[in-house]
This record gives sequence, C-alpha cells and structure tokens, in this order.
Amino acid sequence: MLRLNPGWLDYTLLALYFVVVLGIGVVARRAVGTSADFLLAGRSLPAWVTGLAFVAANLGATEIIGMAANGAEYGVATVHYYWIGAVPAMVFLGIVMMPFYYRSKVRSVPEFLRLRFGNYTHVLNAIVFAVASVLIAGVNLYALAIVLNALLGWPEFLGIVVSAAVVLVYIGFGGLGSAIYGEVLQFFVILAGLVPLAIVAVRSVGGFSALADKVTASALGEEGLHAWQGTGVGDVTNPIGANWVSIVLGLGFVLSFGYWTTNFAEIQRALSAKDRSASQRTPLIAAFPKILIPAVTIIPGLVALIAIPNFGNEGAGGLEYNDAIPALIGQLLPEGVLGIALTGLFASFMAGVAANVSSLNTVVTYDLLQPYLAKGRSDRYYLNAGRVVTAVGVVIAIFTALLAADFNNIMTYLQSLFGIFNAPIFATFILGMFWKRTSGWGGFAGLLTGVLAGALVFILAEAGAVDFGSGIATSFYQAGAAFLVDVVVTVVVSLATAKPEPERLAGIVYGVPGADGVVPTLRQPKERVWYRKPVLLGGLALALTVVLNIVFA
Amino acid sequence: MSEPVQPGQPQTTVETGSRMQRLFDLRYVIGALMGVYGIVLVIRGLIDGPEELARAAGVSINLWTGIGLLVVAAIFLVWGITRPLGIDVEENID
Repeated sequence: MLRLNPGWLDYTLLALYFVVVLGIGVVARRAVGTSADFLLAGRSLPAWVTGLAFVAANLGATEIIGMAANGAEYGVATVHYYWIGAVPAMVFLGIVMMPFYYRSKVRSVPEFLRLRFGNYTHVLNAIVFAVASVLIAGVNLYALAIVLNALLGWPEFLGIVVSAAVVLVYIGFGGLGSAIYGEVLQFFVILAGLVPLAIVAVRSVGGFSALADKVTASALGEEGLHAWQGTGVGDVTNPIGANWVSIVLGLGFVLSFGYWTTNFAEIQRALSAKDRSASQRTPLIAAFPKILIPAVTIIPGLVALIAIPNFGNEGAGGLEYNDAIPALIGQLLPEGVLGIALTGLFASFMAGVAANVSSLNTVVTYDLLQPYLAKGRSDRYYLNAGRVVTAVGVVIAIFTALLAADFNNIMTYLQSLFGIFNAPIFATFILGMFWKRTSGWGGFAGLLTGVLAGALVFILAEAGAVDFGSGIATSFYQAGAAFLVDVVVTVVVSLATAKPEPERLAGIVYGVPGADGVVPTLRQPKERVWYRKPVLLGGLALALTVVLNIVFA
Repeated sequence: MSEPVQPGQPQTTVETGSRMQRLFDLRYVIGALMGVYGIVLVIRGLIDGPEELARAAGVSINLWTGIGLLVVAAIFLVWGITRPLGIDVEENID
C-alpha cells in the first residue's frame, strides 16, 4: 500500500541532489589542511549557515516521521515538542550559555567538562557521547532502510549501505565544513518536499475548517485540536496524556534544556561560527524555523489520521502512525513534486546520520585520542585519525543498523537510556558555569548519581513498580529525577570537598577573570543592526512562541 | 579579540579559517539547486494533465512548488551577487 511509483523525472531530481552533495564534499576537501579544518570547520562560518545547520542537524527523518506520527496520535499538543520543548532552551543557549562555550575555546562539549571538572567527568561524558552517536546514527540508517524498502522496494541492506556510503564520502572528504554545508542544503530540500505535501494534504480533506471538524469527530476528539486544554493536574483528558506541570518542567525544562544546551551534535554547529556574536545567534536563528516546522509535520499527521481508513489501528490491518508522511506522499503527490519529497526524505535521513558522525569524529579525536590514548602527535596524525574515525564510525553504524533490524525493541531501550544520560548533564553545566564552588568531585558525583537516578526511575516504570500514566509522562518524571539528584549531589559533594583550584575557573566561570583579564559575564555583544542583536532575536522568538501557544491553547 | 588559548591545542589561523568560504559561496549552491528544481517543476506543471491535478486534490502543485522554488533561488542568487563575500560588515565583539 505504501509503494510509490516514481517516474524517471523523480529519480533524476534525487540523483541531482546526490551529485550536488557529493560535489560539496569533493570541493570542500581542498579546504581541509589541518585537523581543525576537518573537525571544527575552521571556526569561520557566518551565523545564517550555522543557524540553519543547527536546525537541520535535528531535522533527521526519525524526527520528521516521528513528529508526524505524534501528530496523528496526540493531535495539536505535539507542538509542545517544539514550542515548549525546544525554543526556550535554544534562546537560553544563545543568550546565556554560548558566550561561555565560545570564550573557553573548547572544541567540544566534553572538553568544557575537562577544563572545569577534570578528567573523570570528561572521560565519562566523552565515551557516553561517542557510543550514543554511533548507535543513534545506526538507528537513523535503519529507519531510512525501512522507508526505502516500503516506498521503493529496495532491499533493506542496499538502502543502509548506499546511504552510509554517501555520508562517508562527503564527510570523509570535507569533514565538518561539508557536513554543515550539506545540512543547510538539506534544510531547503526537506522543506521543498514537506511544504507542498502539507498544502495538498489540507486541500485534499477540504481545507482547514473541514480538517478541524473531522479531527473533532475522530478518536482524538475536540482536545486533539488544543495544546493546553485538558492538561489539568489530576484531570488529564488531552491525548498527550500528561498534565501541564510535567509538560512545562519535564519536557520544557529538564529534557529540552538537557538536549539543546549540551548535545554536542548541536553545539558543534554554533562553535564553528566565525565569532562570538555569530555563535550566539546560531541557536537564535535556528529557533525561527523550529517554531514553524510543526506546521509541516503535525498537519500531515492529522490528515493521515482522518483520510486513511484504520490509520494507527494496526490490529484492524491499518497503517502504523509512522507511515503518515510516506503514505501521504504516495497518495497525493504527482510526478515532479514526488521526486522532491522523496529527495527531502533522503536528505533528512542523511542530515541525522551526518550530524552524528561529524560530532563523533571530533569527540573521539580531540577528547579520547589527543588527551589520553595518543598524546603529543603531529597535527597530521590527528587529521588522519579524524578521517579514520569517520570511516570506522560509519561502518559501526551500518552494523548497528543491521542489528536494529533484528532487535528493534533493544534499540528503543537504548535510545531511552541515552535520554537518561542527557537529562542530568544540564544541571552539571549550569552549576559549573555559574557557581565557583562547584568542585571536580562534585561535578563527577552529581553527573553519575543523576544518571543512576534516571535509570532507576526508568527501570521501576518498566517493571511496573510505579505508574505515571503514559510513556511520555514517565520520561518527564525520569528526567526530572535525574536533574534533581544531580543538583543536590553536586552541591553537597562540592561543599564537602576542597575548593576547585583557581586555574580550573579562570575565564570559564561567571565573574572569574581569565588569564587575559577578560571577565566572563552575560554582557551581550554590541551590534549595530537589529537583526544581529542576540537579546532582540531571542525575545522575538519567545514572543512568537507565546502568541502561538495562546492561539492554539 | 583576545581569548585564552589552550596550550598544546592547535588554533586555526585566519587564512585556513576562511578557506572553506573562499572555495565556494553556499548561496550560489542553494540558488542553483533550487533554481534547477524550480525550472523542472514549472515545466512539469505546465504539461500536467487532469490525472496529476486530480491526484493532488485539484492543486496545480508542480507549478506552484516550482514557482516557490524559483523565488527562493532568486533571493539567494540576488543576495550572493549584491553582497559578495569579503565585504561583510565588520562586527564588534568584546
């Protein structure tokens, strides 16, 4: 039922995209002379490029397909993943945290932990990140293979190997620079496919008011059209299945701040910006497309729910929620736009894999090889190491993808586990950046016990010992527990251990001058034109989010 | 800009730093790809028959998407031509 019949024109449009992306990689190779060029893109990119790459790195297909699925399952309340679960954290990153990251001249997020807390915290974080990156890249590859299999009839193995090979070629040649240029291009191709799909989808059910009437009459009901109605504490009737407190604190605060402000695959884009102001504007520029993307994911999800018989009801032989976008592409798009949408799907899968691989090679080279495993080699050595790690990472990701094909449930659990690792780390960073007293042992103990606390809640919920009502609510509580334990343990252990040495704080903690006499503060860069002022951009993004939340309340 | 440099860690110099950008201007790449896609879709849209129209709920979607892509392409090409690389307005950082 999902099988498409692309014409030669569709395949030509897809092939053209591959040629351009590979071309970027080959040309970018000439820009790579040092390991820093390969792994950091030479810190030379303008803010609009890093900003669009920032949003595209998160626009992997598991995200697009998953959010359309959420749209069909939970309705309009899915916007919480964008407006509460992303925008505030992105604004916070741009205005508060990015100045600290950029000023410290770190080349990765784990490296900041090394400067501030020492080697234990650093190694713990670097290894977890490296393992998670490879596995998540594998999950993305596997998801791509399933879609290719359903849409085009390609064998899963072929889909995995072909897409991995393309990613390997353009990142292996050009490194982070070509990954970022590729992501910006992917951003436009993804939207060029999704925007027409959303427009045709709404027209096919008779316009927006007909869509709303039909959703109200569907299993979602009236509250499927509202983000906040029916989320009262103790009286949750909204399909999202969580009350407003756990939405705001769990999703909006703990989960989203943990992901957006410390995930290196994202921060790396901002670190490659050409100056501090551009690095601050990276997540702020990204916030605006992020605010609008739900229009092209949730709307197709809702249309699929009402237009496809038995949608989401696999027991009755219907399609599963994840098929929303592929099924609508097949039903609604004629030759031509069909090719663009197919290219957009490919582009989004590759964006996800590329972001993971290009951050993996930096962390392995600069955070594991250079400081510990292969100290004091020439820059040439680290450049080659970066290339080798890229290749090895892609190969492991292929095996992970093949493994995922056999053990799908295991991969779901693994992803939940990485969610556990992500949740407490924001607490460690914010205490490290703003509280001078946070000691190395405090940071390490807090991070470790925070992870354990999150894992404990996860295991108890899986075993049925505690019940939070829904899977989403469980992940919110799990993240909340991890965060609280991290804060408490970090503070207690820091007070019980010796004060950190002054050189651990210089130039990277609020109010402590660096070796050059510059005191890190939240003073914002002076910019002459309004669209370069970080606070103004962040304020605009937040204001727009508030208005949209009221409109869709 | 004077910021702390970690000992033993190579920092990029200005020359290597801007190499990627000097090699090619991404705005032209976006403009060219979107432009080609736009032209192809507009032509395809003009020869679309009733079958294609019916499939897309009566919307001439190839034509409209093509026009939209041409507008995006034009914006990037005009931006690239009027503000070539290298004359970027200087920014003040602390």
